[in-house]
Amino acid sequence: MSTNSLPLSIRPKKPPLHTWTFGLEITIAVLVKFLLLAGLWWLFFAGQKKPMNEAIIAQQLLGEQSPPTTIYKPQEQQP
Amino acid sequence: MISNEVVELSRLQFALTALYHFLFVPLTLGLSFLLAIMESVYVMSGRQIYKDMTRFWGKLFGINFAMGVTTGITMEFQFGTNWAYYSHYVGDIFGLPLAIEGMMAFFLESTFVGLFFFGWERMSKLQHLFTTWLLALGTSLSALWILIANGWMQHPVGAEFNYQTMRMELTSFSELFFNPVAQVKFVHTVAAGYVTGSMFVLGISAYYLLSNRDVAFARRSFRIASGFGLASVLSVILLGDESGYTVGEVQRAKLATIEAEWETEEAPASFTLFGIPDEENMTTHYAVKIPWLMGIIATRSINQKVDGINTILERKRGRIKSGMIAYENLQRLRQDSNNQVAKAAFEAHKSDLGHGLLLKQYTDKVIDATPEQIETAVRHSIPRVAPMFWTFRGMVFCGVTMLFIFAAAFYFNAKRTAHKQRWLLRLAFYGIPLPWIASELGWVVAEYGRQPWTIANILPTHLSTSTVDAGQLYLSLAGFFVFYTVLLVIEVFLMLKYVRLGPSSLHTGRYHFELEGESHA
Repeated sequence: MSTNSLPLSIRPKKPPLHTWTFGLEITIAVLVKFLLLAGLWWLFFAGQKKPMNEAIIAQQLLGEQSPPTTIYKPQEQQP
Repeated sequence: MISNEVVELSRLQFALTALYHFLFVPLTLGLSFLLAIMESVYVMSGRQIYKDMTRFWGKLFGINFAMGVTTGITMEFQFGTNWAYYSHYVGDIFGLPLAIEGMMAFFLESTFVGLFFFGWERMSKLQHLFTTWLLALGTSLSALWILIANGWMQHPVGAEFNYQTMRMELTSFSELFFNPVAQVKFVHTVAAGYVTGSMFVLGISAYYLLSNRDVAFARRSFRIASGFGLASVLSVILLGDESGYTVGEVQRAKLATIEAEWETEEAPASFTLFGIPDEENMTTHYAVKIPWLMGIIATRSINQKVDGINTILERKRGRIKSGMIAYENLQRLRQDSNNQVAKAAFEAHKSDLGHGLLLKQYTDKVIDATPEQIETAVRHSIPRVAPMFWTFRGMVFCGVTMLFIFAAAFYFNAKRTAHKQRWLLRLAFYGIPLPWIASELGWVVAEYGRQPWTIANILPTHLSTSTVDAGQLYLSLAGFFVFYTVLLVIEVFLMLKYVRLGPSSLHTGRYHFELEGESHA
């Protein structure tokens, strides 16, 4: 069976066997990935912390304009 | 009110990152198990070729693992920034399986990946085999926790809304863990991963056989992949997540839209194999139906009816009106937590609060919603039919094609003539993308099918997103696109390089490129 029956892009050709080692290639790839990931975090997410609490979510869901007066407060339950 | 543009962009960003992430996951799931099987054969038979197989496919596993690990963390970035309301509302429950998954992935899976690669010369055969099985187990376990989190979004159990903290709170860990939707999802997803790994090994082995190189190596890999792949694809099809479709209303709506089943099918319900859904007129043209099959798939029986879209919408109408009462009494309770009348009314209707919240997309004054606004909310309370109908059929087509490939490979392997079936080798090679296409389509069915909810029947999608700027979302979307594209390019480059090298990359001196003048090992 001839390899010529395979598409050009996947036809086997002798690749260099002893250029970089597998371990080195993987290490570089992982480093590139972590650098990109850190860049993404720093550029788009690090400074974008959204404050969120009960009052904000009550405003979003129920349209409450001001904090209710008789609402439960967790710290009141502390001994 | 948060603009539709922000909601749609947040959804698009999350969907794209999840779909990109899931290009890596199923191969990790599948290859880890195949490695354990190959190494078991090596330990039992003592034949070097099986060790070479474990090490070579392990290299490809390593590339995929290295590029895939932490690609899911970008979704966690988004929970805090783009989905802040969601994170606050359900974080107590959703965060728990995610945290356990993180522990599993980092401490179990990653540890054993290290031992797998660096332990060949440092451990005994049995110790190393044990490590490889733990790696496979750890990979599947981390999938389990993610799917428990996702299963809870589809069918939220073991949790209750606390009107005082405005959050969902966990009431039963065992209900969360044994959620039937999560369990069937786990079986379906993990088995789909095994199919992916098997198709990958089968296709690449077919490539070596077509190239007439490393034949002994490729024939053995092909044989293991065909057996494991056939068992896996049968379990995906027969024990898949269909049984989960009857649990909970969102799952029933998903099933009805997948089937374009406008009216309730009396038992035994028939299955629409093909047709052209017409959403405007709520009918399916040229429907080709198979009697009884739907009843068997959905209810595992022939004496139960299967709900149609109209029946589900009718129920939704009732739940939205009940949700308006819950909403009104929640507002009263928030103003005066001692109002016992409001408390009793809220308790009676609180399971429908989420349906009341659906109206927020159409009016700020939920309790004064007009009949037209209620009808609009009812109409949009289930996903659109056409995308569900066609996506599901695309997934099934890929699955059935893979079943044929694995069955043929298994049959010809049993006759010991698989390596001579040129058509089968070509089919296996060109079929390599099929499990990825099927998995991605499957996730679209699962997640688009949950709309308009992020948490089924509890929190609508349009109330889950943060108040962020659309421009910021466009920018981060572009950032994600660049990030994942770079990863994919590196992955494909390394994969192609090592697939072309084949087992010669092990530098054992026994394989194709290391043998002068010989065509195969």
